[in-house]
Amino acid sequence: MKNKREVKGYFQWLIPILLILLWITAKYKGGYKLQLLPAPLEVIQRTLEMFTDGTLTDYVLVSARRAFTGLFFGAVLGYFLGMLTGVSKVANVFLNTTIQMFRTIPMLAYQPILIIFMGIGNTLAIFMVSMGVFFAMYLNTYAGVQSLDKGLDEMASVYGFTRKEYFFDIVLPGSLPSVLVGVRIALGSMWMMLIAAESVTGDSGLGYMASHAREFLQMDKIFLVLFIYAFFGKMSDVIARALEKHFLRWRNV
Amino acid sequence: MSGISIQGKKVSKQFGDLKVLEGVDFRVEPGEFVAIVGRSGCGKSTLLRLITYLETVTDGEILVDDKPVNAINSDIRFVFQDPRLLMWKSALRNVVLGSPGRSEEDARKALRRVGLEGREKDWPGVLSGGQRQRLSLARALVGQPRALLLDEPLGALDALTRIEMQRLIERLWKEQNFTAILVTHDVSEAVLLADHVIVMDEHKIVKTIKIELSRPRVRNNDFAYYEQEILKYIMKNETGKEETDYVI
Ligand SMILES: Nc1ncnc2c1ncn2[C@@H]1O[C@H](COP(=O)(O)OP(=O)(O)OP(=O)(O)O)[C@@H](O)[C@H]1O
Ligand SMILES: [Mg+2]
Repeated sequence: MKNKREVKGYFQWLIPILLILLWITAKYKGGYKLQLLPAPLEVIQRTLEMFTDGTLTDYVLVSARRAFTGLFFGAVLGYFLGMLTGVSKVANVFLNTTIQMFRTIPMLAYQPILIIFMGIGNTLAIFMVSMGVFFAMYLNTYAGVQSLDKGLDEMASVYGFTRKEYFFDIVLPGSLPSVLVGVRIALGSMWMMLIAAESVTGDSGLGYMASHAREFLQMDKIFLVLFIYAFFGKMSDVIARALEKHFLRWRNV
Repeated sequence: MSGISIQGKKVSKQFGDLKVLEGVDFRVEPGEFVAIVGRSGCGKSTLLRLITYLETVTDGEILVDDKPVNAINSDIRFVFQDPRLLMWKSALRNVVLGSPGRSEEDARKALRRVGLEGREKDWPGVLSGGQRQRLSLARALVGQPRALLLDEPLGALDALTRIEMQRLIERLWKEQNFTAILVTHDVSEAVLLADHVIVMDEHKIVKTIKIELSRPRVRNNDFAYYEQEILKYIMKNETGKEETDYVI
């Protein structure tokens, strides 16, 4: 049993390793354009260099702070409003249509307007991340509440559930599977929004590093950023999985 | 605590233009076991839901303990066809939420009574279909209700589990003396368990048959006689229906 899991653990790295081999092959055996790819050694050198002069840590910390601040505000607001419109008919009438309408507008379309009001600093990045996270959380929380089995409502009234019990024993745990799907999507859009916001913000963060590197065609730097994103993406996935494993124990049987 | 009487007087129910029940009269005595049989869509579930006050009558009256129902009554419990358990709560917690005082001690007792002792901590998801239905039975009975309404609770179970559950229901009914109304598609189940069998068709009660067999009942000739008798009333109307179908 344990052996099987170990083998599985190795196999999931197979394709990433193949991709790295492909990269190296392309670099040294590929055509003229492919030779523009950085050599693995260059990327490692760049990493060490940026690490020792502190800029890499700086960028990562700045980005992480923006990401998590945005995540916090977006998630709290999205979850809260999703619950509210899911549970309350009045809130639903007033808010749901509006939110659903705004959701269909691509975030990047707002960006120019936001820049006018917020400039291109921290605020813009945090705001855009919040928005991305908010919609993911709102939609999935709302859907989770809506898709609760209506039979349970009847059960609750026959068995004399109080409003508090109805909310904490049925709505909250019953909508959790969908909410956690929201968390997973939110973590994805968090990074995406961050890149988009930071590629126009002035002077710090991973997105800035990437767009700056692009302008100067520093391929090694671009690759480094890609690896960092991949790492954070993987971390997000691990976190989302852990949350699901813990909170949805009742389903994993 | 003893059973409760349940009576319907000229009960009619309409959903929009759809007539589901038309002038239904019946009386179930305290502690009696009544089965309702009839073809799909004839309004059996609706009748139970009216008694529970999950729906309200369009016309007529339903009396519980000779008083008109005007609210959901915690003396009357409903067991649904699908167990409607909270999958994210332990077996014990599901039953606790069925007890009027939310008593854990009563819940443990109820679980013991339906033979689920030792499964208190399990999620409903790990229980078998029959065990889940037992759990929902425990939840219904934990508050010592005076009437139990069962809407095809055994419909989804395999034959052997059904027999086991029928015995369990009969035993609990004897122990707790509640009034029981069981909706079922299974004529033999009705004869096995009920004091009276109500046959419904075309939105009405077409016949009430008293089953005069001593308990525990065995499937002998007398048993078969009652089965035939009930089937006769269901089939009689069915042939009539088939003819009209052919006209079209
Ligand atoms: N809330 C509702 N709104 C509209 N029509 C309804 C509603 N509830 C039931 N009906 C209709 O009433 C009729 C009787 O339904 P009911 O569920 O009482 O039948 P039943 O005898 O229990 O059938 P079955 O044996 O299949 O469970 C059906 O035609 C059904 O479509
Ligand atoms: Mg029914």
